[in-house]
Amino acid sequence: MTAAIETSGLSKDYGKGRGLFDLSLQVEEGEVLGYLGPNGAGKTTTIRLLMGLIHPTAGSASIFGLDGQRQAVEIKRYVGYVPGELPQFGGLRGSEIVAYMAGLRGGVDEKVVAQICKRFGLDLGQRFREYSRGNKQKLAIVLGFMHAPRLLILDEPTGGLDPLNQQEFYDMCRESKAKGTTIFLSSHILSEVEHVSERVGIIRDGRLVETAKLTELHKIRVHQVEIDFAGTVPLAAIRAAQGVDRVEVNDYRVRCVVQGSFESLMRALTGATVVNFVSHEPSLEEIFLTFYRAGGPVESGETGSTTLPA
Amino acid sequence: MFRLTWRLQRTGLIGMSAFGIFYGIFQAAAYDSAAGTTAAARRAFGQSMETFGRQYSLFLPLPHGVDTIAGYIQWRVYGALPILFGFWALLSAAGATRGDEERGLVEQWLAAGVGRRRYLVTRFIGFAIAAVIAIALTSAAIDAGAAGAGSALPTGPLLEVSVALLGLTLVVYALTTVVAQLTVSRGAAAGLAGLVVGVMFFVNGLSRSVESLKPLAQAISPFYYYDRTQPLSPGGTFDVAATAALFVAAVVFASLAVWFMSVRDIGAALIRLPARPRPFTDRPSPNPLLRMPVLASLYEQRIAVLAWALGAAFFAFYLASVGRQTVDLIQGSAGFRNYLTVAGHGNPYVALTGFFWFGIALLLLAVYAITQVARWSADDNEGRLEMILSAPVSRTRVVIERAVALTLRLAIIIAISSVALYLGAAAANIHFDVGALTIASLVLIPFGLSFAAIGAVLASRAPRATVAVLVTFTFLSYLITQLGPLLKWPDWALKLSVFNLYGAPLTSGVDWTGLWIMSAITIGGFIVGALLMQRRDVGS
Repeated sequence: MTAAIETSGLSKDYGKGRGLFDLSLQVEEGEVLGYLGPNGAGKTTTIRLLMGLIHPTAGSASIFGLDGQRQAVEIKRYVGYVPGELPQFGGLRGSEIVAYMAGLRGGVDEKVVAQICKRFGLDLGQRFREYSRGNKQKLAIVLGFMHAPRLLILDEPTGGLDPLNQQEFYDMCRESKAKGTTIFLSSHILSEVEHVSERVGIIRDGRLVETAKLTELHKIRVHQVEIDFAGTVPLAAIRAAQGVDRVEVNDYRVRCVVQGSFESLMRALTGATVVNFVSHEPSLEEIFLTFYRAGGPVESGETGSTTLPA
Repeated sequence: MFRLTWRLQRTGLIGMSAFGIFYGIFQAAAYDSAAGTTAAARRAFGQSMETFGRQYSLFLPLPHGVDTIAGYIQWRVYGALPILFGFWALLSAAGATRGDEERGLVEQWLAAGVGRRRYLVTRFIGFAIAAVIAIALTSAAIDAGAAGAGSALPTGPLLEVSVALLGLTLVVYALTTVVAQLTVSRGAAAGLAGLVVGVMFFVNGLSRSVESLKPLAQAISPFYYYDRTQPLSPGGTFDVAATAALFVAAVVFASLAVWFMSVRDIGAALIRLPARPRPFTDRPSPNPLLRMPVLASLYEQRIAVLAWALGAAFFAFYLASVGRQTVDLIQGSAGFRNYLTVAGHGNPYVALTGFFWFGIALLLLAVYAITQVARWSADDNEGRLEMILSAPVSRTRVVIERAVALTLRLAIIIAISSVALYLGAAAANIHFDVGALTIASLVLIPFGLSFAAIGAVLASRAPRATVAVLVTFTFLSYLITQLGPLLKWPDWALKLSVFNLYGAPLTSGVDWTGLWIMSAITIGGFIVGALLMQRRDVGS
């Protein structure tokens, strides 16, 4: 099967270490890829390269097997795009902007437009400059989804949307996915990616540092554990247990961090009287923050840190 | 706050100063070539100019004593500078008020604890300082040019006319800040202020020849008070009261703007008209024009096109309607034969009326082409191009559509203004040959497109610098037409100006060489623009 998106050594060098470097990535048709990274990491550059808006300094990108540069026009027939920065349409009404873009694109079903507007409560009768930030974002979503594209390229699409509309947007993404649409979702909000993605690519300083399934990310999660004992604390066994780190003892209470499986810790507790055992699962956000802490993934075993599989 | 304001003002200051310096130096330095060096030649030149000046009394004050360099500069330079400085003041004020508000800068400043009064006063002071510098540099350049021609200007009168020019510039700035409070966008502020200032300007212009309009001009037009001061003309005076009135008016308007801004909501107009009840709609507009290539762009700019067409038609009608009177006036002058030589052969009424109108039309269309090129740059900078290219639309198609849409818009503006010219002339009993007028009008299209094609190359290569480069090119091109003949430049040098490629098709037939060059520039420019567009990164 042809990949929906395939890049090979894709690079855009803006100088001074800025840009995107050597991106090799594949997104299968029907897959939802969350593309995560902090501001300035290279997410928008990646998307603009995929959209053929900017030219790579090296490497290539293809969409549905079509060359991202040479066949950019044909590619756009299959792609819906929500840009990171909203264009300024001045005094045009929402209905006029949609009509204009529909005219350029062709094949837009007005019923689909109406459905999306209804879901978001977007009035197309207003002028663009009268729209709030959120309504402008809704309009961008309408323009991206209105032609039911095979591939959605979304650059931080929920900026400015309130939580209810964010949920509506996630529902739309899930529905599109159920219909077989491929989604490339760029975001710096992990919860957003968690809502719709199956796989995540993490980009930092212009380089893709990791791609993993969400479930894989959770496998490498760390847990903060708090154990209360009724009697003797098997401290030596706990310290020796595999994956256990940052052990703190306060009378009969032990706090530690467990990375990966609990099996070794549970063996260390054999014979001890445990009266309370609390495990706190970190959010993807915490994993993400840890990942970016101190400029990159931290080596395994370092206190208080998490690592992602290489 | 002030430092930021100053930074925002910097580009306008540099541009306006450069413009003023060039214009001043060349106009002053060209005096000898134009007027001659003997007393007799200058007297003849003065008579010719004073007759010629009546034709342009709508735009320039009536000339006095132009047989002296000081009188010539008073009329030709300080008569025209209010238009240029007024235009700058208007655009600056619209940008400083509504433009910065649209961009969210005003909100940021207010959030940082800057009061509305302080904000506007700081912007006003920033502009006033910039205007002082630009006017001082311009006047110094004029003086240097005159000194170079062997007749340094008297310092006192030069200072006095500069002060009057400053007063007028500040009035236009302050007035625009008031008008801007009534609108919600930079474009609307500039448009409405342009209308108000335009009415003031033309009422004063008309009052120079229509005595009954003088009281109205005195009541509403700052240009009337500026005209009171003509210290460089022989026997001219500095009207202290009129100049003081300009500064007082500037302060009053600025205070009014502060008051209006303090009582209105940020992002809203001072007077909010009740919104018409409109049903919720979730359907795209049924307007078929929006779905058609080229016509969508035409529809989007329909109001601007209409405004340009009506504005041009007004000029054309006015010039044609006073054509007979003007030609009768200059027929007896020494320079009449010179004008006729340039204007072409045949009926002198037709030739000279056409010559005056098409001279202005060229300038108007060049400016219109620049505004269109500015929109192309803005499409890129404001993300619209990115949105268009996210649809299955090639970059080449974008360039072609721009060219075709501009051709249509030019055709509309030219057609309406040519009809107005024809009707105005008919009213003055001047009868244009419809065929010749149609051809002369049609040749205006490749002329306008040539500027746009150069703009297309620039917009495709470096959109952020496009407008500045194109304005400079247009200015230099126009300068060649103004100064080249005065300095007796050779033909090939004059042909370097796109303005000179037009020729005089109304009376002398089409200048085929010029037409071919304009066509080559147009076709070549858009092709190169399309090629460069392919290679360029959008939005950078």
